[in-house]
Amino acid sequence: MKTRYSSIFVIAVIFLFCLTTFLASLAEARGRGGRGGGGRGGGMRGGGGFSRSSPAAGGGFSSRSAARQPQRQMQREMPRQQPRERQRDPSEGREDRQEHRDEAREDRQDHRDEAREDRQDFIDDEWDDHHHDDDWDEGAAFVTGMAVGAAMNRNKYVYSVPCSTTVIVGGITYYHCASTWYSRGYEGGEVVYIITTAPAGY
Amino acid sequence: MKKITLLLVIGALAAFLLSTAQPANAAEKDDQQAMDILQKMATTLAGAEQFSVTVSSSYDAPQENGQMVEFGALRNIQVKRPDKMRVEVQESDGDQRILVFNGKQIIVHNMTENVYATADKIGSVDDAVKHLISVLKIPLPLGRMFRTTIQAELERLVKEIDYVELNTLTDVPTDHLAARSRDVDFQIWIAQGKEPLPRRMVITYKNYKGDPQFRADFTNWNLDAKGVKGPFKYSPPKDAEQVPMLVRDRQATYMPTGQGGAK
Repeated sequence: MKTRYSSIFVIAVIFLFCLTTFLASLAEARGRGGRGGGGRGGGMRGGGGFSRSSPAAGGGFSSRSAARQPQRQMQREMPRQQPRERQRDPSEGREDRQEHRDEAREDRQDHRDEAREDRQDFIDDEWDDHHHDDDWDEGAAFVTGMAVGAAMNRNKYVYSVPCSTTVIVGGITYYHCASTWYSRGYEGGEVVYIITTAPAGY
Repeated sequence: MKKITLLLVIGALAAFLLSTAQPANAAEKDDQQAMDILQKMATTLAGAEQFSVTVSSSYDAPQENGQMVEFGALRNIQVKRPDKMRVEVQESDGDQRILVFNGKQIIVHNMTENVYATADKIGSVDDAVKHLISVLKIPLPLGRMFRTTIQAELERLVKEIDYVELNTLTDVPTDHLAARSRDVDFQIWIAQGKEPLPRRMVITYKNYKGDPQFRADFTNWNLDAKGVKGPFKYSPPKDAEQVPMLVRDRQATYMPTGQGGAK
């Protein structure tokens, strides 16, 4: 009888241990996934860790923003920007004709538009060359941004935080990872994590 | 005899010139026809006092190993000119957002994380779209198409355009056009009939390795006032946290107004 109870007890302990381990691993996985917890992986999110960054993400009509990026980003973008040798295809002849036919028209147009385009290029690049550039900050520990409305404050922020420990103070969610505190912000369509001072009482 | 030879030479030359000139003229005519169709669409969009449309889009994201991976989004867009806009977004990973512009302020609510941010912007939908994309860097694919300046912008951007075919496989017959700009190639399918609105669009980023594409299918077009209900006033849920709207520091000096977040 005693032996039977002991066996049941041992099985129950093993079951509880397995359950706890399973729940802990589930919670950890969720934390890594970043939903509502420790944030997203910078430039990587979703189940497979694939990058969502793409010049096509913004659906713009132009794609020259790299030219306006600071040098660091430009260097990073360069390999993707290299012009490629296009394969000659059957429509080439038509293209040549088209190019020839359009040459005069384009010359006129270019000339007429030159002054206008000089002005508009900046505007154009500024507003339509949107990249969903999660990886803009790759290679750097953080990005700086300015809080809209905050009096010229420059904020350092990251796209993910390495932990999911949160405290809520004054209605604001803070993430405390090692010795660094983060609060959330919104930038470029993404929730980001701003490096901030510890909340009152911490 | 010399006179006859001269006449023959002149005749042959004229015939040659005519034979080479005619196809070019015909091609130019096709170009013009294609441009006219595109501009007719632009005029319809720009002239609409309001519209709503569902845009199902996807784009190629090149991975480091060279593989292209597709991500998608579904957007319900409502525009009520001059100064109201609402965009409901659902990303392929389940992220949901609502963006509302009311003529004075832009509010973005990330429903997945239940946070929202605001940015003051007084102006028209045209102004708001430009502000969203250029300053706040918030994705609004095909944003140009929602501005009243679309005709001028297409005129400026399009360097070549061809009529591809009359497509009969779309829900309504569409004119399939292929255009090229300095930076992208794009194809557009425009409905024939009273409302020449886009039904499909494919943009190819030809200057990037792998030629990643952006694709969009437009459904549920509605240009009637009754169909564009908004609401264009948005109050986030009480338990939503307000966070600051950030603009990336590019040594810019832009400082609009907003609230929220840690001090």
